[in-house]
Amino acid sequence: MSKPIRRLAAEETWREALPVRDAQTAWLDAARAEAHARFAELGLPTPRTENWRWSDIHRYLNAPYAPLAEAPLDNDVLQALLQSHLLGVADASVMVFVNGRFSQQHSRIMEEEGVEILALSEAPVAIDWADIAADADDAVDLLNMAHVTDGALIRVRAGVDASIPLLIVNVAAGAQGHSVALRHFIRVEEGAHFTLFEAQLGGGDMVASQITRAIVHDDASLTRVQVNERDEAAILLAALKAEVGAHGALHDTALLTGGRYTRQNTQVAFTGDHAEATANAAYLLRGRQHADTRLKVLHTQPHCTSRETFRCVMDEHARGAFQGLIHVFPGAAKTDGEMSAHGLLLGEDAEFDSKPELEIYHDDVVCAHGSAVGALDEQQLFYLRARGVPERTARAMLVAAFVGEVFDAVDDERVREALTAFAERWLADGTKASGEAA
Amino acid sequence: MLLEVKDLRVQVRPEDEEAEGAVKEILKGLSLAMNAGEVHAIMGPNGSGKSTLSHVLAGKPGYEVTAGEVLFDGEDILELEPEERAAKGLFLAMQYPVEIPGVAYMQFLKVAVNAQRELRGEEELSTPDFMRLVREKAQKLGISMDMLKRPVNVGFSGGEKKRMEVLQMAVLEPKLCVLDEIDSGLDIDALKVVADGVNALRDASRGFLVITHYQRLLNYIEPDFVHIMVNGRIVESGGKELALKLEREGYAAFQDAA
Repeated sequence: MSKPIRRLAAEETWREALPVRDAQTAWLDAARAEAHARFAELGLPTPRTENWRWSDIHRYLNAPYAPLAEAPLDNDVLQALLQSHLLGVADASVMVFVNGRFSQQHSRIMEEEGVEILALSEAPVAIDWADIAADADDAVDLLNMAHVTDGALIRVRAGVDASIPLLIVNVAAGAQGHSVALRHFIRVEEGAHFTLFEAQLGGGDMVASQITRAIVHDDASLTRVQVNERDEAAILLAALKAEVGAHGALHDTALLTGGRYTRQNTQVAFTGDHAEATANAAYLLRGRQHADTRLKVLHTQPHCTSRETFRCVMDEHARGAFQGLIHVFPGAAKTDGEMSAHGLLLGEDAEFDSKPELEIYHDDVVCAHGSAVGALDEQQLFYLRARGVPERTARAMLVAAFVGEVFDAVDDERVREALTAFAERWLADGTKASGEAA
Repeated sequence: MLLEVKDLRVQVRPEDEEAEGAVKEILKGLSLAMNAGEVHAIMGPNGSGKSTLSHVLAGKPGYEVTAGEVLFDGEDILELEPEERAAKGLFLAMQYPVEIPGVAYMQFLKVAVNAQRELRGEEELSTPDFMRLVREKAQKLGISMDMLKRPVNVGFSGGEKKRMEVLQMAVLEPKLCVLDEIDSGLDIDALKVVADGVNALRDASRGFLVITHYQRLLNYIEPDFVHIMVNGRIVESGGKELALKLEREGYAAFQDAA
């Protein structure tokens, strides 16, 4: 017998809260109102919704989290966050959004021919090349649309191989008890190439909602690296919705290591043949952290390739979840898809739930999926120790090796090294932190 | 004395503490003594406890010492962690070197060398000094630097794995090398390479404990002393001629003694 689903405090608040009206982005008001009305009809997903089976958002969204209007800004906290995050090493243009608002003062956008970058709040009217509409059946997307205050709009013109990546920093400082919503849109036109970094920082007990929509045209490519380094009280609802054209490519990498609860929805749809997509992620979770990814790769076109690699480490009482689907549509001949999700449990109470799925409606395809969960290998541990490596170092080396595969695929050398170094010290840092607390 | 094992008794601890019936005594009062500069061979049939002895010396978890002691350089090491024993100069060349995907061999060696130095209170070896050391030792063993860029033992042949164990020995310069069936899985050419590597490390300050099934290995690594191990005990000790006797007569004659 199942329990009745009670309405969440946050959901109540969001239903009642008027959609944001913002003089600067008045052109969005109609879309906000429409999304708000549709969200009120749909409501948030429940644990009975299959896509959300491993995320009991009732546990997390049990406070009001009203959309943030104006927040007192702690500049010292903000500066400290901006100076010490992992993706800060990237040699890139920087767009900083503080508490859901673009901050010119903290941003540094370098000009590059054929690359347009602006904040949603800077657009006086709807931008014709930026389609930021929400999916009418996705409550989290609608909620984001209803309360969106800002975001990044990026256009890379045809044939431009952009040399300056963009780092988008989504930071909260002093937003406790509230929610903020950003929507990013990126359009990489025919034959163009672009690299995007996304950092999630700060927090406190708050909800950050972020939707990134990416349209990758024929022969174009987009590389994205996302890092969630929010503090242990924060909740992040993030999504990437991407379309990839013929001979195009999307390479997405995520490190989820911050936040109390992270939900990542990734959906990639091929809109042309011979396209490729990779969606990889590493989880490094401890305490009572919970991260859950719902990944869908829609092979609607023939001759497309996709690779999804998830390496998830859970220490103490942390919980990781992964639901991945490779969907091969009728006519998607010669599809080549491979999905693997491995969990490494360090704590006795840690948990990993994984469900990689294939749905195949065409014969001539090669698809595979795999999933495994286990503890550290005692033989490997002994081998390292027998050579003089102290147990703590040996454990840290094996953890870094486990997630290393995900970071090895990152092209940007500085970012790759920063992520690898972080993985190497993650275990030791945690031991130190727990030791100090005790 | 480099190594003194006195009346050592060892049980395999069952995974489930409740299952007392599963407790099995493997070493049943084993004694052994060796000096620096000596090569001792331990020969014995399957199941006699040879690998258990090597594991217990190195400190592998899962064994329970119920009696006896192990003195290394005069110090009882049974309470020490595996890494502390390694830092004191004990090296176990494993019968089945473990594959570690995601850890490059060079990185592994560097961490091992410097971890041992740190435990001994010595200064860290700089990267150029370390590279020089490894290059020199690898060259002597015919190991390409490319191999050291690969993950530890992943995709290595049996011969390559054992040769890399010898490289580790050469780089770490232990006082006591325990070779656990280093000949297993090797063809005759690979065996020669490995044996040459071991022989090159023989000197007056270093001891070798060579554990093997077969006399053949001892043609290449010539021991000073040979011990026959049956049913968890050393049942006979002698010079290298004992190995030849064993080759002629088999273990049956010694099994009666146990």
